[in-house]
Amino acid sequence: MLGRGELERAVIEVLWAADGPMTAREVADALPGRELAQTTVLTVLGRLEAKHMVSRSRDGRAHSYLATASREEHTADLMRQVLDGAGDRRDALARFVGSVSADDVKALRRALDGR
Amino acid sequence: MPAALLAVLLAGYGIALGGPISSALAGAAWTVRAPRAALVLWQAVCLGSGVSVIGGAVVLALGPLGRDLPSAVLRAFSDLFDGHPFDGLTGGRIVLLLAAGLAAVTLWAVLVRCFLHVSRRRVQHRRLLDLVTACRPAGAPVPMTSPAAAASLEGVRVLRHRTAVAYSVPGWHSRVVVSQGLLELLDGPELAAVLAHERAHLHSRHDLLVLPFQSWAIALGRVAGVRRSQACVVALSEMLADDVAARRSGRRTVAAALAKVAIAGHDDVAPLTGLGDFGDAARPIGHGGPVAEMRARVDRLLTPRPLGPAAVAATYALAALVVAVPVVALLGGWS
Repeated sequence: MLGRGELERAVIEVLWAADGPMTAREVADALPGRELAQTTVLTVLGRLEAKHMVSRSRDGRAHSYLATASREEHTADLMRQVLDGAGDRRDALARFVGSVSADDVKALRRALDGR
Repeated sequence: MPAALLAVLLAGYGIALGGPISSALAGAAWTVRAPRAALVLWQAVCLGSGVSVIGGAVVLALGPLGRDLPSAVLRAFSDLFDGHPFDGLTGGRIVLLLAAGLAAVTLWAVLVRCFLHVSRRRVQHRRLLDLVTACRPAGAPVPMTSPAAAASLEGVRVLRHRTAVAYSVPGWHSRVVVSQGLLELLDGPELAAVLAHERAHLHSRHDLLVLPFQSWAIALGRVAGVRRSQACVVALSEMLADDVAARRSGRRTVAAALAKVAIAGHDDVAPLTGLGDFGDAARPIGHGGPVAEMRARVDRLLTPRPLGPAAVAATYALAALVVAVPVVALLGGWS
């Protein structure tokens, strides 16, 4: 039995791969090798909608779902949080390397070459 | 000695600790040679400063009520519960007492708020991270395909981005994250070193170590010593993590990884954020002092000069003394 997180990831990946909005049935069918009930898929879509990852619209009789942003856009968002948070007083992440000045770079290149 | 004199001395001691002494410690070159001992000393300075200033104010306020702090405070509480609060205290002393209480409560409130804020941000980041990333490199097998390197990536999230970064998300559900760019930049041993560094942060909960300094720098950031204390504690904890990684991977490997990532990060023109040269934009506070992070980290890895055991012991003893002074003064009392 798959965990919550894995289900959410599987569903959002289907939506990312899609050309346009999909109904819950279409998403369920597109999920690789799984026999998931449509209600389960609907629940997962609901959770993703609550996280603003997915938007829902009425398409005739069925609701259709669309990813709000691509994986690349989300990745860029995460990267922004990592890079921009460096000078933040309430920094939440632990970066391996902070920002460096041009002088530091020169010294580091020397150190690296001297190794 | 009279209560008033003791109070003034304590307050002065506390202010000196939080101000000029903190600034001096921030500029002290020896701290990078014994980061663990230096961190203990920092914590002592922080604690000693707070206890002294607030303790001094309370002594001045409650002086007439007792012979030492515990008896005076007990007397104040019993007066309060007996229905005649602030008995024997002048208006000025009452105001001072309330101010001291307010200061103490505010410091704790700021700490709690900071913790909650930071935790919330981590949860949000982690949730998005879990949806967007997988626990294995994306696409074709990356250059390092040795079993050791592959094993070291166990449980590590990989961001599909060409900017070379490595970071961790501290907390109960911690995460270690590397980018595709980092995997392409570093070789197997260097990657293992970076992961060991990040895991050391998580294992030793350095985030909790830094939290009080972080939060009180928000509250008292105007004081230069307090501001610099945060930068120093962060830098020293990085060095501790470097040492853990170095024990595993060797100092030169860690230094190489640091240098490569720093250089790549500087050279990388990041169109998504519009930041080409981080150099001036986000320079961490503490720039110019001996704990100017990057250079100090690489230098101490390449040419380590660890402090001798006697000096290390003296540092721990000093830390104990810094805290003992106000505690003894407050318990010893006044005449």
